[in-house]
Amino acid sequence: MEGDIANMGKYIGAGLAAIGMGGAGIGVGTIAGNFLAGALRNPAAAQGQTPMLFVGIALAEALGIFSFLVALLLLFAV
Amino acid sequence: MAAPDGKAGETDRKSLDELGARIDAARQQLDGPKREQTTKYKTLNRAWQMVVELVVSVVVGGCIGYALDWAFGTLPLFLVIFGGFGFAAGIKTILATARGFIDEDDTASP
Amino acid sequence: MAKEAVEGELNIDPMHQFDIKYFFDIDLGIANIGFTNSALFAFIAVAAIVVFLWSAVSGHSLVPSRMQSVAESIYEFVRNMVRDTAGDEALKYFPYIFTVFIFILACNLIGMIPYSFTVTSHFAVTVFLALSVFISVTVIGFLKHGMHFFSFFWPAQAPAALRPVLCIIEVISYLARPISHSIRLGANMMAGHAVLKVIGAFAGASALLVVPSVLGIVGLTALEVLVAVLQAYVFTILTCVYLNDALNLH
Repeated sequence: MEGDIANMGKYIGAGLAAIGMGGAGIGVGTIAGNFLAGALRNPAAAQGQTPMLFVGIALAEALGIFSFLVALLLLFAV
Repeated sequence: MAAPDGKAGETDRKSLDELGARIDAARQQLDGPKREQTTKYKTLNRAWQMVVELVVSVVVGGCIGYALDWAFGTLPLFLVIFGGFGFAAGIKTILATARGFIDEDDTASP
Repeated sequence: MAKEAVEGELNIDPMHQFDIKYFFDIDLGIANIGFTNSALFAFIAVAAIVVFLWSAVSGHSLVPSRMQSVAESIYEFVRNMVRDTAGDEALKYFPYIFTVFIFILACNLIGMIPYSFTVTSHFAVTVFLALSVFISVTVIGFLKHGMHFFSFFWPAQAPAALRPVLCIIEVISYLARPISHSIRLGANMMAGHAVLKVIGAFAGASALLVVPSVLGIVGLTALEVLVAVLQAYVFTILTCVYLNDALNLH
């Protein structure tokens, strides 16, 4: 055994923070799936909405990246 | 190279024009399928580009806030406020990027 | 820290290829400015550019040879890009943009050669490139518009109460530009090369995986060449967009 309680807390916290990436994965999947469902019903309108698809994906993914950043901060900066 | 005088120069010019026309025609033929392939890859790149823009804006805002906090000794206050500003800046940037995509698609498709 | 490659064992070290090695040291106390493999490959890229462009235009003729037409196409491509995105006024700065484009392109493509080093995979290099673009564009904006350049951050058409807040937001998004500009190039190059290395390590793990991983490497290498060219293009077109903002203020 090595390390101390503070280090243990750091690693546990980083692991918990990384769970947030899973939420981002769910969000991106929901957005892309709903976009595909909508696009298959009305393919003519799909082309105009692709930029909004990317905005949605970026928003969802960015929140996941923030949790990843928190994990990195816990590991290396705190 | 021969001096461009008289008849020789004229035929040179004519054959050059023909060559130019042929190059243009070949280019137009090639452009169609090639462009489609690169746009398919581009869409993948676009999503990632927006994510980076959003995250970087929030991080820069947070850094400015943290610096202000460090200067005034009010730790969580400016960090939170400027983090929010950074998020707004990121949203603004990715909306502008999305608008750029619409313009690009409009000019590329017809 | 070179590890022995052991048959039948997964031995993945994808970041090893990005290690900086010093050939000799020049220690100034605050920093070591010795000659590294990164500097060596940057010099190789510059030498390749010089040799290529020199040999392309040395036998200049009206009907271009193959080399000359390649060089002319690149020149024409960048020139059109500058003119289309930033206007005729920006053609003054075309030599700089062409230099940036062809340097990044050469570094990216030389990095695709096995056992070579990808200069642009290091953030130190891409941040320097992006910062030099950022600073020069800002200086150009101030030289052209003087103090009027600050109106770039002042949203005049927004409601009066919101303007200070929007101004802060504009400043933050302006400051975020060089970072996202450099991360896009560096992360793309680094991620692509690391993935290639990981797939390559699978081949060493078991005899069953050799054929699929070699096929995967062939496909990924083709994709990486595309990425190398595309990222040079993206970096350059963003430079043109920023230059356009500085010259024309929206």
